[in-house]
Amino acid sequence: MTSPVYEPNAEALNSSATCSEHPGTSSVDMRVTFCGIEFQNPVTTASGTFASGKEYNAFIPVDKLGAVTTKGVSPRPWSGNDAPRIAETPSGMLNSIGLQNPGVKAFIEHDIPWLESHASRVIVNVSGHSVEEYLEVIDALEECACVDAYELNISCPNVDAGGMAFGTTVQGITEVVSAAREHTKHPLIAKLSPNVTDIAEMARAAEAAGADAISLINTLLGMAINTRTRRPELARVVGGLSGPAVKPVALRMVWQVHQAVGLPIIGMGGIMNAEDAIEFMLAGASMVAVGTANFVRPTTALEVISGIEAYCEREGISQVSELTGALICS
Amino acid sequence: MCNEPRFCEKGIVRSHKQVGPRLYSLCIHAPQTARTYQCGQFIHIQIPRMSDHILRRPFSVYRTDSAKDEIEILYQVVGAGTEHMTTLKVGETLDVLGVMGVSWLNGVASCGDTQIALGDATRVCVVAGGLGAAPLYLLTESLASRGVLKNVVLGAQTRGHLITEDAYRALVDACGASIHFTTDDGSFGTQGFVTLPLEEILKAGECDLVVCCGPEPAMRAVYKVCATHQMPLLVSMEKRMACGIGVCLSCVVPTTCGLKRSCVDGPIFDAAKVVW
Repeated sequence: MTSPVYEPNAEALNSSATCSEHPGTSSVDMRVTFCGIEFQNPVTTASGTFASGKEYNAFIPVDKLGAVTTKGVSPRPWSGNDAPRIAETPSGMLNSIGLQNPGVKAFIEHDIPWLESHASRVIVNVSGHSVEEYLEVIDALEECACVDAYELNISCPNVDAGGMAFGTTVQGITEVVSAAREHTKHPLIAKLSPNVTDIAEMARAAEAAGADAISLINTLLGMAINTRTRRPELARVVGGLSGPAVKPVALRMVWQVHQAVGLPIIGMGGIMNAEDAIEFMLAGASMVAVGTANFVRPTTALEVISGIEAYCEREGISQVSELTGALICS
Repeated sequence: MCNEPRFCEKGIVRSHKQVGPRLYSLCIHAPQTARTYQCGQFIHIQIPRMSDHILRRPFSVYRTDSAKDEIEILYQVVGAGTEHMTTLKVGETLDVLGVMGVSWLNGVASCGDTQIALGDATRVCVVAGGLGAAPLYLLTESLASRGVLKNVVLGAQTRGHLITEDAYRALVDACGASIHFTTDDGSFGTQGFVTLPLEEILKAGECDLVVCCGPEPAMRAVYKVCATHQMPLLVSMEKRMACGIGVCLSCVVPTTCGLKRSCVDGPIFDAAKVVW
């Protein structure tokens, strides 16, 4: 039996065992309609932790995921930051990859064909150093039939321009989202940064600018130091924190955003198992994303789907979408 | 390039002992790994009972026992993960993600206009710095059995750190190759770096390919010596890893052909293409 890093309660474990092999064999309707599109289940991947899915297809059938959310795509190739790019931290890790990617042309040539035949739904994460660069990527992808939605990366902390620089101000969010809105009819998901004072304010700005959905959280800005060398662990000094350590912050922010805006939410931040995912849904998420957990156990995303299904069956919930916002706060 | 097969299996600790200063040998029953592992590749292990350190640790396999479906790993205690590993008990299970990386057997090295594939080399010199001897052992065994092993250079901090001495001697004796030792403190063999005996070997024109694994400064020094003698060199680049399977882009090695992932494009690299 697998021993998850974070042990869900025994009941959840026992129940998930019955459904773990075959999602979809219960009486639970796992489908969600998100931004007018039907997804076979509410589970997707966190951008940057799954590439386009080809490598993980050796471990799980990627077409069973609700969607693949790709690594960030920029107009031209970006080489990312100097190594070391990662550091392990208590219950998590820091990364300062810096959105290394081969650019949208190479993405269309190499990743789109694979996604077309292997992913049930495709959300492309769009990155840019300037508003114009986001639009360049969107324009290039508009003709790709398999792309279902764009996730606007206005929250990566590992680039000097773009990314989080947009997502930490109302003005920056408004600029990118409203410009993107004019360039596409596809659903636009604004991926928000937690490195702000008031996440609700940011979510309202995204909603007002025309976003169709919110995804959060991206990574928390953090640092690690090596006392033997007296240097930072990361070449770039600071990076983004992910993993179980960030879950309480992510959950709180999902809950706050759910209170603040009417847009559907993709919740993520430290989801290691189905129980974590259910917490995010109760807090207000319609969909959830598995990120760092993929590195720990490549089968996590599939297990999350099965576990949510098992929970719903046990709780007498016939449609998984009933979980969204079902938190009881008396 | 996606290296098959890819699997997760439960490994069972069969033996675990200290073999040198902060150096340990861990034998694990892991049938899928034992049967598919090729020299130079690595496995990505989740250490149990370490819930606040969530990442897997990559290890190369030192030796395999196909009859028992066992693999042996050598490790040095360098940080929290390896410190905790010393508490692993016989019978414990660990989750093994395997098998990743390009094998030594697929290595192609170049120098100037000449290129040589490992399979075509007829006079190979193996250079190991410290625990670099572990990922080189199975390769050396293969080279010896094909009659193409000419020299082995094993370097370590002290005599006590030369934990693979007996194993390498056995290979070398069986095929008539030469073996040279170096220690930092002079307690055994030549005092100094592995580059000292290597210089002599290259000057004497004894080999057509060098393969090296060790701490990066050691490999860089070996590369400089090889380049001076127009000698092709294969190295194994170890970088911090998160996913181990090519998606996270943590483990990049700068090369003359751009950034390469040491987990799927490596860990074996043509030293002439690495930007040192």
